[in-house]
Amino acid sequence: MIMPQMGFDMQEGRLVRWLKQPGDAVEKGDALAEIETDKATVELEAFESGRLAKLLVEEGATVPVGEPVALLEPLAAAQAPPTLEGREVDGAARQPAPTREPAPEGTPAAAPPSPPPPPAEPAPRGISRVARQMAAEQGVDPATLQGRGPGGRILSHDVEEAARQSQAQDAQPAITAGEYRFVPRFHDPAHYLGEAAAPQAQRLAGQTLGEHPFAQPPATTDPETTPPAGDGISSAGEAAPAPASPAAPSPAPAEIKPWSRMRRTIARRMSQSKREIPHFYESVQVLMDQALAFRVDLNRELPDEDRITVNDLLVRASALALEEFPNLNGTYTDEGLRINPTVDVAIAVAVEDGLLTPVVRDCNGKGLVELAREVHRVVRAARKGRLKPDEYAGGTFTLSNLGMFGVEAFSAIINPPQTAILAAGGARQQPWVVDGQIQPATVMTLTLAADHRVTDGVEVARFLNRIRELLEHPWLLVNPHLAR
Amino acid sequence: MELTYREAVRRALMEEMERDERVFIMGEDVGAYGGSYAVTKGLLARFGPERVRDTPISEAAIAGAGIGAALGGLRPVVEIMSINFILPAADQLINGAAKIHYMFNGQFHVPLVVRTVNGGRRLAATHSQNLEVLFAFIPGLKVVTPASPADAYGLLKAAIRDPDPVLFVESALLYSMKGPVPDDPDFLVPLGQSLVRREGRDLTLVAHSRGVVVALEAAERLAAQGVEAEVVDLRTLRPLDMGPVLASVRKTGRVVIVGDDWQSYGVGAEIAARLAEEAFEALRGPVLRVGGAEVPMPYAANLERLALPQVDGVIRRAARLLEGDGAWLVR
Amino acid sequence: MGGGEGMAQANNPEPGRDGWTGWTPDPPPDLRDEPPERLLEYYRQMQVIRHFEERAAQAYTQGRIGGFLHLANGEEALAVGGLAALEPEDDLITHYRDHGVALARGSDPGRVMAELFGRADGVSGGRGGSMHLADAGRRFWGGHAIVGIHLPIAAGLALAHQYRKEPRVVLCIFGDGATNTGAFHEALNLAATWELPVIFLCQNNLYGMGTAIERAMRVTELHRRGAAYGIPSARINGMRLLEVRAAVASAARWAREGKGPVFLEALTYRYRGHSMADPELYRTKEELKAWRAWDPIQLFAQELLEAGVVTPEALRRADQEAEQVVEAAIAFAEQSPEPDPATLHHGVYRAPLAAALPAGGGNGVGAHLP
Repeated sequence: MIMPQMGFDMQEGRLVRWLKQPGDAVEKGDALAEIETDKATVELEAFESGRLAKLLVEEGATVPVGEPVALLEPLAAAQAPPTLEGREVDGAARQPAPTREPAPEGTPAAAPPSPPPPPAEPAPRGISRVARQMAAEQGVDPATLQGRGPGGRILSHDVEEAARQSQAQDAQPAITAGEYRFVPRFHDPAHYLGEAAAPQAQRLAGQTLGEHPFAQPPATTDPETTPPAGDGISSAGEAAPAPASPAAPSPAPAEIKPWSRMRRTIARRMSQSKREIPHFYESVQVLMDQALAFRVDLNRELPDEDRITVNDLLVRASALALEEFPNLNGTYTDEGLRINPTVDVAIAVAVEDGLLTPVVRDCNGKGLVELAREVHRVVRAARKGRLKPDEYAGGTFTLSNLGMFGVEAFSAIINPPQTAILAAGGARQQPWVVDGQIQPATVMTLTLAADHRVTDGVEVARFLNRIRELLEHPWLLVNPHLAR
Repeated sequence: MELTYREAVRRALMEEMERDERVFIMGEDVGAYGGSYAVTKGLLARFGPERVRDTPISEAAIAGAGIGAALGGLRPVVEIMSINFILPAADQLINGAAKIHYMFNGQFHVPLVVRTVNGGRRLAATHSQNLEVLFAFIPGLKVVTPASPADAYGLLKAAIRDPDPVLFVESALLYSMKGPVPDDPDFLVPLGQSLVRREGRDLTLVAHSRGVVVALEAAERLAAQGVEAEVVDLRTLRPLDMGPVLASVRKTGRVVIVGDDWQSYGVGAEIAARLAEEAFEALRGPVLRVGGAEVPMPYAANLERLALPQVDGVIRRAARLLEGDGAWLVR
Repeated sequence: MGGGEGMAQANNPEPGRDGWTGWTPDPPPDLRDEPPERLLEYYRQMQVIRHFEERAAQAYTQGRIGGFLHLANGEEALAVGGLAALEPEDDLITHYRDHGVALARGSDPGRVMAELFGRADGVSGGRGGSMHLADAGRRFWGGHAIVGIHLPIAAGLALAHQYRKEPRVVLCIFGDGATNTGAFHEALNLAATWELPVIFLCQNNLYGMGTAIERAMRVTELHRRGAAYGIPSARINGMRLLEVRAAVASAARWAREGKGPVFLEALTYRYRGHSMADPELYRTKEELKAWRAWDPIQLFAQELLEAGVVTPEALRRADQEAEQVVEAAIAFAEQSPEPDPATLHHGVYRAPLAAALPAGGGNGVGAHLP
């Protein structure tokens, strides 16, 4: 190992202290010593692995660039058991006696082996010279420190840290003894990379093979979901399906959990929507008994993976109704309402820490089963984080269904630049009065949020009634032109 | 044909754009406005907005985009509205354009022309400067300062066809000057060639840009009194062609250098040093300079006049060289 | 192709045209949908860059490389992922931390190392050094070492494509520090206004030399700076190669269609100091350690193994190949001669002017031999 050139104008360097001792194993990239140049204190880096065989200069010596400072045995040789000679060198270098290597002339630091400024009190063993000096300057008692160096040796960083902590506790300004000490801030990768924990940490936590935190965000298990940001993220409801239980008040200081990229996007888009779009809401109750029976009938004929869900029926009913109410399928612009040629229904899908809205294109160009199949496909892709950008951008209407979560009714925020969003609660049996008689009925509440710039109460009422009609006469979902 | 300096520049631009589709113009208000000095007037209508491009007020972007477009194979002619505004672009020109060919070992080059204007009248300190010498300091740039309509025409065409970055410094005070211009679309004045604008045996006046006009007028007045002054127009400041200057000084032995730039470290300083190095034995007296007063340009008309080289000043120095005391020349 | 809507409007767009719609970065593909050989090649390229820079650092300490040496350990995924998204006829321009970018673009490692050594066979003939690599044949227009200077140049390269109506794009790489320069502002504004096909790829490694971003700017989400110019902008994880590739590819698609520039802010971290002389007083070891957990090479290797698309043996082989490539590069650089002293004046100009040669014993003004 030679005295390294560490800057274009460096001619010599002072070896401040050795960080490794003869016999120590050395890994590529390890710091072997601290070197002080005119400009800075830097580290002497090992560029290959091996064993430190011999120190050729003492701490404090000034050495021209390019002169040898230590011998490093490469890996193969180092694997042999340490030689007697190695031990001798080892011992010799640890003695604070003059070595056989004459120190370069004119370097006073090399002459006496004792540290230049005597410490105020005897320092504990295992503290570096620099650290001892720094501790004296900063009024830190080394005996109170836990060393983080090799073998618990106290390093300058430990002293710095202790000084910083005591400063923080005393709430003193960073200026001490007329000298400003710069305190670097910690930049947490989790904050910048938008993923809460480092990948290694996840692996230690037992992440299974193939579950890349980006590619695989299954909504129920993976805590590290980070789906693609962008237009696909939207709200489904003001009542979010967050499974988190409210935390009990705790005396501990509150911890800030950084927003994920998805949450940031949701926050931005929802705030924008609520700010800019004058929402109004209307609800209807739909009797679902016929639809549920229809679904059971239909599913008998279908393979398992294609089984129709209530959600599929809602998509179908919405799409058919939208065809008759193009305003609600339109896009608001300052110049006027853009009439969209196809009905592209976005479906709110809960994923961990947020929502995605995969889009089914041209819903009315598909048969009911075909439509359901496509709905299943995009929802699955959303849950797996495998949506392509064109699969989550640009829907003309959104359906948010919280029925399966036991929600009775709720209202949602419009997903801009759309005009309306349908919020569906659960279908549940309840007493229902028909012709003065109380009967059991399966009732579902649908709430439409609509943009009052585009539409008004009566149109929305007609639209909701058409959806109700379609669901209450489910064969219309197969063919809307059937006579009732 | 007879053209003004302004028309000569415009004609050169127009012909080069017609000759070569890669040539285009960009700069602040070169298009719809017609150019701050009306040099590019009419070009937008003729060549359309892709080839006559109005830019934001962004000198660094204008120069840098010019460099990039030149690297990409085009022949950009960018206009910096006045040389007073070129300093934000100096980084692009000095650290970028000037170094790219050498630093990357000739792998690519920068055929860029930066047109700009020096001088001015009653525009005061920030709008009247002659900063061309800053760029003449830089190896890798070519700096051209035409002083006649014919040179403006032929040098600009040569600059556009040149493969290196050229700073083409027009003179605001010469735009209305009329002069003969060859009716030949391939008339080129090679870069890096000084020119003897008037022959004479008694005295050499070396000048660039508007200084040439001052020197020629001084020579006229001297001639009326029997002194034949030779006037050498440098035309290109870098690369500098000392040939005609040296030849003239070896003939006359007396030199006055005329230019609007500040004297210290200016063009005159460089010429004087070169004469000391290369023609010391021919000199019959000191090398004298007439330059701008070393002040930020004042606005008041009388002060401004004092701050710029005048014919009288040239004649006074010529007289000092010829007679020791030239009171008879000045009347 | 090319010649976007902006230019179709004849550089005279409608008043009030602000912002953009319709662009978001593509999400990264599934590893299992990629050819394994390609993934392995990415890995190998990143390891070549890592080894190359480690060996360069060593050579620097030995005095075989002079001046400044700016290493980019930790930023390999950006170089390899970003350039994997480019076509050969697209343009590349970058800043002075340019070794990895040059290698990822395909420049010969031996000639790059020779440039660092200041030798005649260097990619820039030994005249540029570490900060000024370039490779004309690969449309790599250089490492530029004045912070921010190359952003307007990138806009100009893009302008040339737009002018000729070619479906080509320019990838312009720069650091977070450059976003504080005036040239950044001017370039983004021009590129946005003219809808030039340029991808501004900002490597946000959180430090401009030794100054942390929040000490140098009030808006540290740099993609918002891009958005401020009406340029589609996004922040991506620069430690994930495929995320970088997907984002740059979708940006390139947008630009190629004539829709204008895209601004990408890629979060990354450099494990080494700004240059070799950096004492790193401005950051903590703990921070360095936290970011090392995101090492783009380790991360990529881990993902490849977990997805079962490559074997550990294949990775080990790639490691060995990378080392061999770099050792060969060192050997090539060592045997390459110093530049011929007679060439000192060559090439100041493309067209030296005979008339301007010094008349004799001049001071060198205008001196350039053919």
